[in-house]
Amino acid sequence: MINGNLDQFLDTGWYSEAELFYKGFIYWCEGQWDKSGTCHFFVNRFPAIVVEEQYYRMIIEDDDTVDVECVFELFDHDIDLIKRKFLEAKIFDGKSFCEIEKVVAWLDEYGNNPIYRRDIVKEDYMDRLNSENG
Amino acid sequence: MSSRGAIIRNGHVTTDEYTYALDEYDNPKKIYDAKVLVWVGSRHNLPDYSHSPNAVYTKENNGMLRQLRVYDSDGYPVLEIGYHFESHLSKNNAPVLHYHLFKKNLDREDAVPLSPTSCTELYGIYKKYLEAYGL
Repeated sequence: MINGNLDQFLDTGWYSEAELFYKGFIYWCEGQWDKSGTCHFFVNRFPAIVVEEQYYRMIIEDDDTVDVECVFELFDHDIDLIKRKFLEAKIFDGKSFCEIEKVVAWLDEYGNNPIYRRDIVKEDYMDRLNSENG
Repeated sequence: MSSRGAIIRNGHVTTDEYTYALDEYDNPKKIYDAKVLVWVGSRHNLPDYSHSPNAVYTKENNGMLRQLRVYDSDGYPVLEIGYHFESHLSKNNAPVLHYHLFKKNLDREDAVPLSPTSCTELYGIYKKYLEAYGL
């Protein structure tokens, strides 16, 4: 796992709002328990770019919306079952967590600072221009 | 075999993998009595357990509040306040102030929006920390 501790992730991180980056998307992993003890575990993914190898910026559209997609959802009392099904589910671009664990990155959001999709290419260009000009 | 907070149950805690953020004078940064933590290595999230009873820790994100956790006298988390985008709570991309309660076995309850009008008592208790972050 890049920028993350696998033991921590598999212990409590996997349901504690872990933000995993893989192939252009953040996979937000979260579990919430209701009063009856049923856990609602879900993974929502949305597009993002990596910043400084530790952070990400969420990509937003011109109308300020985020393209969020729920790629996994389960309701159950059995947390071991939920965890096993999550780790086996092929939700990461057709692969399971176990298949990508060496290349998936655990990131943090860069200061509530999303980026418009229209600005991504522009910023890349300016960065290159500035570095070329020293 | 289930392993949730196994590090806690086995008696070994992870707080030695955290250190304190520093203020402009290079002193450990605090927001009132809340300690601002930073990670050693590649840890994430606030600690599952606190050595210090009744502790309050915050996690910042570029100087902004990301999470605040409150721990009980036994060192277990009881409350987490978050300020960030939550796909099932946020409108568009906006961060939303919300909280989760914890059970003793580390179950996190459903996220609940937090504001002075919707959760008056809870908001009042933690208002000073939130206002320190401009919330």
